[in-house]
Amino acid sequence: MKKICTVCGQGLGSSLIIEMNVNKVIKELGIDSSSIAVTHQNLNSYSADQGYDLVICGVDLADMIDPGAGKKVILTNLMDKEELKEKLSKELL
Amino acid sequence: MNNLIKISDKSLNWEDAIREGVDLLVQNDVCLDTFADEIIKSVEKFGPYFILMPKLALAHAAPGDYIKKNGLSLIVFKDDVKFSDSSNHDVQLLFTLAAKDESSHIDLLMKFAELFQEDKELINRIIKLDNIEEIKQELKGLL
Repeated sequence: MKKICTVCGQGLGSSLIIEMNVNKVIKELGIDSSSIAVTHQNLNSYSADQGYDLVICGVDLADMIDPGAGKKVILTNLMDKEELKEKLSKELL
Repeated sequence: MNNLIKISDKSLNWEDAIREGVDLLVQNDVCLDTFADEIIKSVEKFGPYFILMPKLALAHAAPGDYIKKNGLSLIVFKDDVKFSDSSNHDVQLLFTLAAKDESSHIDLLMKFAELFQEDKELINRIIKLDNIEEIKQELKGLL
């Protein structure tokens, strides 16, 4: 089981939008969605020791996020599903 | 109900732009005007991370007593509102989202995301409109 977390400032807006897009992209890539757990968090609740394989965030917050043992995926355009797809496929396929 | 959409030809700094967006929500009894202070504090702390892509922002802050119900407002600025020196932080469509809790606004957010993701030209079309009814039509009932 791979664990993915999307992070933004409040956990209310962009992290939710990215989470929705991650779920769509996983489907589009033909990956078994039961093998991946996707969740979202805000910056205060997130911490590096939570053991996520991938931490996804926008470029504005990238410096504030430590992915711990996992990897950080940084998006420049949070609404661009193609950018997410390209970056996720490198990590998941 | 007062209008939740406004077209502005004022050149505003980002703090005043946030206050205008919140003011539309206040007029509709969605939140108190202190919500603007919370958003401004959040930008000072985290940067303008709620700019989803150049030109498009979804300003918000954590749920709190200053929010009465979920709501969304939009100001279409004729001039860029600059959230930093970077042109990536120039905003013309400033949405302000009031979320009463962590999850009840998700349907609204999903509709918002799908609208702008499925139609890449939507931002550019809305920026050029001078009529609120036409903007409403483009937003397909989002607000």
